[in-house]
Amino acid sequence: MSVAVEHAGGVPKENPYAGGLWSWLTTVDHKRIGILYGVSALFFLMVGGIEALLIRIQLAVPENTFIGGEMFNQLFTMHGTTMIFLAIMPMGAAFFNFIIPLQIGARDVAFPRLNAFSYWMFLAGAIFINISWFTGEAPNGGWFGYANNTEKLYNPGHGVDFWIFGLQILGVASLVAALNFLTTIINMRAPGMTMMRLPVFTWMTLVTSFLIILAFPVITIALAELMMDRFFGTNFFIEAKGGLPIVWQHLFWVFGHPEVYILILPAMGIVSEVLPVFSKKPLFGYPVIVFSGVAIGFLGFTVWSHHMFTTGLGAIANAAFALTTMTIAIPTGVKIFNWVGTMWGGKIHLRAPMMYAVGFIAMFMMGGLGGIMHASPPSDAQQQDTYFIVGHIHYVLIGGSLMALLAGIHYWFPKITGRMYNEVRAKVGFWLLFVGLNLLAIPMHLLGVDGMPRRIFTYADGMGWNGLNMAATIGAFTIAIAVALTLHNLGSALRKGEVAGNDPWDGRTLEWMLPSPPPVYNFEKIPVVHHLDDFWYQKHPDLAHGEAAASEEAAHEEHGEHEDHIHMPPPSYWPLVSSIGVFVGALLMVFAEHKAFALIGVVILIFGVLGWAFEDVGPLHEWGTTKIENRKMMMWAFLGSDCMFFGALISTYLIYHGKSLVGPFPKETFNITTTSQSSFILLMSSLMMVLTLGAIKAGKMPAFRIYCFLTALFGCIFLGYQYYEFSHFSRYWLFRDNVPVQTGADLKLYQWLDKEPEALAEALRGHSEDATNTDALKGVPGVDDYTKFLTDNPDVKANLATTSGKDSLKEYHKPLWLATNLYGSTFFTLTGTHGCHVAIGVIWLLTLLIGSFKTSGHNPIKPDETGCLTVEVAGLYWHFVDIVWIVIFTVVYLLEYIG
Amino acid sequence: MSFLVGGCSLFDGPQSFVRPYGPVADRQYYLFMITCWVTLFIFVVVTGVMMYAVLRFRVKEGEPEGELPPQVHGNAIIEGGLGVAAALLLLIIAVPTVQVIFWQDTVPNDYAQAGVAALSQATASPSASGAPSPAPSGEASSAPAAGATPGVLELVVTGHQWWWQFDFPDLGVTTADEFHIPVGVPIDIKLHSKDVIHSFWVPSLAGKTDVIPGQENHMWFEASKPGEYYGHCTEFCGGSHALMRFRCIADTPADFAKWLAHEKSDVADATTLEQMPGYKIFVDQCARCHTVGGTDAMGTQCPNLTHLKERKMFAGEAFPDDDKDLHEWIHDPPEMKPGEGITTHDPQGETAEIGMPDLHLSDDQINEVVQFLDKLQ
Repeated sequence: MSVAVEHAGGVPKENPYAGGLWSWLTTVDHKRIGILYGVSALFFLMVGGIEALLIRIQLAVPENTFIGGEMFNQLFTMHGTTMIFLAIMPMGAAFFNFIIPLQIGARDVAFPRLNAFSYWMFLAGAIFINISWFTGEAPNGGWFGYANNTEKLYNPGHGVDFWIFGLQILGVASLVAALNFLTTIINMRAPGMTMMRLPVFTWMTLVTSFLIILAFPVITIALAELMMDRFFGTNFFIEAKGGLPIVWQHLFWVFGHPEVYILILPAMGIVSEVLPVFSKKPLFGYPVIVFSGVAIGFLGFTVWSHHMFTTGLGAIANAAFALTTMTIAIPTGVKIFNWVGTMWGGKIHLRAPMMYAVGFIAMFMMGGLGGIMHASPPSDAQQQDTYFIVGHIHYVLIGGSLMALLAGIHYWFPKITGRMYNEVRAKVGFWLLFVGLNLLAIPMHLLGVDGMPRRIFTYADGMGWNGLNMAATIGAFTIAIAVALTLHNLGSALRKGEVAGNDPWDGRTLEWMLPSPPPVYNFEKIPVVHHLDDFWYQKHPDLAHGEAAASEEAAHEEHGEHEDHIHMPPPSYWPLVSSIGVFVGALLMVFAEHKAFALIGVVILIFGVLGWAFEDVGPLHEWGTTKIENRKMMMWAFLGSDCMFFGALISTYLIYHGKSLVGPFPKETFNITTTSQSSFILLMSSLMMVLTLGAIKAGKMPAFRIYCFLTALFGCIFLGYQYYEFSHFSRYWLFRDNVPVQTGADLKLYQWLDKEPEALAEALRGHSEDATNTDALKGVPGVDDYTKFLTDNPDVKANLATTSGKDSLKEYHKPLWLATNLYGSTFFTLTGTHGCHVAIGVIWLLTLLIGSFKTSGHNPIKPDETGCLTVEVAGLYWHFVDIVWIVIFTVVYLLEYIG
Repeated sequence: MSFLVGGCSLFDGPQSFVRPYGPVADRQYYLFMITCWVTLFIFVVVTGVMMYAVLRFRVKEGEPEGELPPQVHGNAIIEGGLGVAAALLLLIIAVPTVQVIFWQDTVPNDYAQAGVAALSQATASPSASGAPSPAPSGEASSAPAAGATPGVLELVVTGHQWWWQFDFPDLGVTTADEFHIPVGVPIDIKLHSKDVIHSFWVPSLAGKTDVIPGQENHMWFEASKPGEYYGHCTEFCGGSHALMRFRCIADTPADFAKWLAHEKSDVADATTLEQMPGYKIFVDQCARCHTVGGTDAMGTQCPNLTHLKERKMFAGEAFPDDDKDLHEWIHDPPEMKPGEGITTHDPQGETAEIGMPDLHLSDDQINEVVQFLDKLQ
């Protein structure tokens, strides 16, 4: 069912937000989803704020006993996690959702249902992580969750489990949203909206999306490894087994520093929108601001170790990372100069959004300049993990992110709601926030100078910290009052505010040409864009610099002219169902006695995804701005993300290569012949995939079905080999010393030893400690095989005879699995993840195969443009998975045999 | 904020890093001040220009709108020039930063040479310098072991949840939470952890270095003036991270020699101690983990208590070393320090005992133990 909208013209006749709860649960409208994000973010801002106030009460006076140490540790962990992942990030996402399609002249995002899924996943993760409060064991390892303090041995409660799964769910939400917005911004632009005509907020959202796509896979891997350690006994960060806690820090900060820019770049984008509007001038140096944002995003991946200056990386690494960190200050500084340049010579209207924007520049500078101070490692050695850093991060996140987001809220509120808030109260809110922030963060800096470490729940009297802590607490309460006042002001404006009109600020970008609030379909007619700040030049045609070329005009002529009906995607509950599946799965993973119960969640998820896949959504998406179809573009972006995902896994494998404290070691468990065969078959499947696509493009459906089947079959054969590898030759080292011992009898013996070591031990206890004395073992099941094995392998028998038989025997036959050593942990995790990728690919191919037999219903695979594209997207994935295997085969297997 | 730092009493706290008392902290302070002045300069200039712009170009509400201001889109020379200026300002920070990074990496030779005389005085036998000689302690040599850099004293710091262990391997001394160093001698520090990640920080002497399990980290510092310098763990390390403090006492070489001789000695009058009722309880309940030199208590997992009462505080410098606090501590450690006294298991079947367990002693028993501990001078 598609919604047909009559050509009415002008203001929408009905409230675009009308409808009950069900309409919000099933909405796929980017504006409603934006509002959901915004309201949730404000809610969690209050939750995080309450946590902050409790922390500040505890620290207001020395030796306080207001809350205990354990509660304090939970509070600061959850305060950080909540503010970063549940307040600031989703508030940015709220604006991405509401504003981006309006700014680029689109009717919705590229994937509306996926967008709804992002929101529901976000909400699921947010609720999940906060449920922990009701169990009495909230996460208590810090928002950075440093291993090995978060390992089971040092943190046995459920708190860290909630944190791990909560962040994983939130990560999926962010990743999916970023893929969506990347595709939307690149591919859904109105005619004439070239990249260099994109509003800066849209540009910064694009950069942020890239950062999320490349950074989140790394934390996903880190969290997965920690989860494996806690649940399945792997050794990733277990020092006693050779694991290196420092690896967690690298993985975390490779994500964590880009995360800082994920939080601040949207803020910079918002400010770059607000300043020109309220200065009545174009942005000063638009291209430089855009490229600075891109440069910041790029450099953001080269500085992670400045969070680790005190971890003993060595002088050279510290010097290198100090210099890259200082380099980031240059594009950041350039942005600030250009913002000031925008105001210079303008006509500045100090309305509430502008006050927040100006406040942002000053307060963000405080944060940024503090950042330069600890970019110097020797100086940072005094500041690291003190309140100096706490003050810095609060300048960056409150003075930077929150102030800019409040600028955005006050700027776009009339557009979103159609109403205007009370200006005076908004300004009072600003000043309270400004004063409160400085009253909080300046004392924090001074406390740091005075040597107060962060994350301490109490401090002794007589350290000189009392007055400053009290001041910071008063500052925190001032901020709370500011936020409460602001929210009250906005809330009452919803009901009583004056009608704002379409363009209350004399705006410059496309969203201001729409009614407030915009109708469901946004643009009745997709606009044709001729300029940066196109709406401004529509209002001031005399100022237009350079006329749009006539040919450009003609090229756009056909767009939007021939639409009789606007097709908007229908509502869907499948995204909600799918996210509920994930939520249930995670909950069972934490609580269920048997982890297999978590599969219930997986079943719900699969049910949701299938329902989603077979839902009728009307005509498929249009071809995008770049003439690349949306799905194909998103697949490319996803593959980039997957590169980081496998990059992190392969890095972990290589870091731990040769670091296992006990055997078996890789070569002892490999059989290069077998794995070469399976690799060859996987490569051949890629060839089959090429033929599959060729067949459907040529319209030869029988050939398509055969090749598609063969691709899937070869994938299955590869998986069969992998199963054999996991369950037999790697597990029992069947090719130890590269001598195959895989007779049926030997294998049986190994399996018997693996499954029944107790039976063997018992037999030995009952008869003899000598494992080579097989007479003594008579009657024990499988002992004939064992005898034969010893007869065939006299060296083993000799070896066993010389040492304590029982232990030596167990040692010799110790099966390799996740917990055995670092090699087992990294090898099975890496190759197993790849195996999962292959399995998903096989299922995907089979759905294509089944779809090709369908003659009616939704989305049959036919040799038309859509069908070819569907197959091509699957092919991209398949080839990528094969390429990853070539890398794994080289790095993991072949390198063992070199040198 | 830098203008405040100079003479302000705000920063006279015992853990302030702008009150350096050693060459490493001096240089870090000097770098800190450079970054202060450069960033303060940038902040004042940029916000000054911005505030000037806001005030000068402001349109009051209700004023007639008038014409649009000149529509300037940018100026390559201004933008580029400011970018270069920013880079030059950063160089003022970057150059000394790199210099100090490499300078502080290892003990410089001139400091090692300067330390030779002070170190030999500090480790000389006190009887030679006329000081009263406590009970001699067997074979420990007063001269630094062969292989150590002359003029440099080696210190091994081990982080535990939630206390610090200090070993001078060349001097044969092990202590906890409070340690002494001689003034004018570079201290070469090796950092180990027994459990999770900690961080070792004495702001007056040097910035922190993390203490990471499975990884030996190094740092060095030197005190230029006698005094008591506070330190604190600065990496979140679980329940009682807040109560993981320590103290470094810098002595003149002569005073250090006295401390050293006392510290090396066993507990005085062991035979009398062994008659105390508290001793038996101690050996039964505490000796598995704690050492009291000269008695049967020889556990090494936990703080060496031989000279407990010579220290001012205990349990990670959390509590004053008096009878009342010792009693409460032994009575219920988890109540005093969150996270103490639990045993944990991981999926592989490893177990860890974290901190001091509740021994379930009666009040009378605790009193007897405390009386015994009182004798450990």
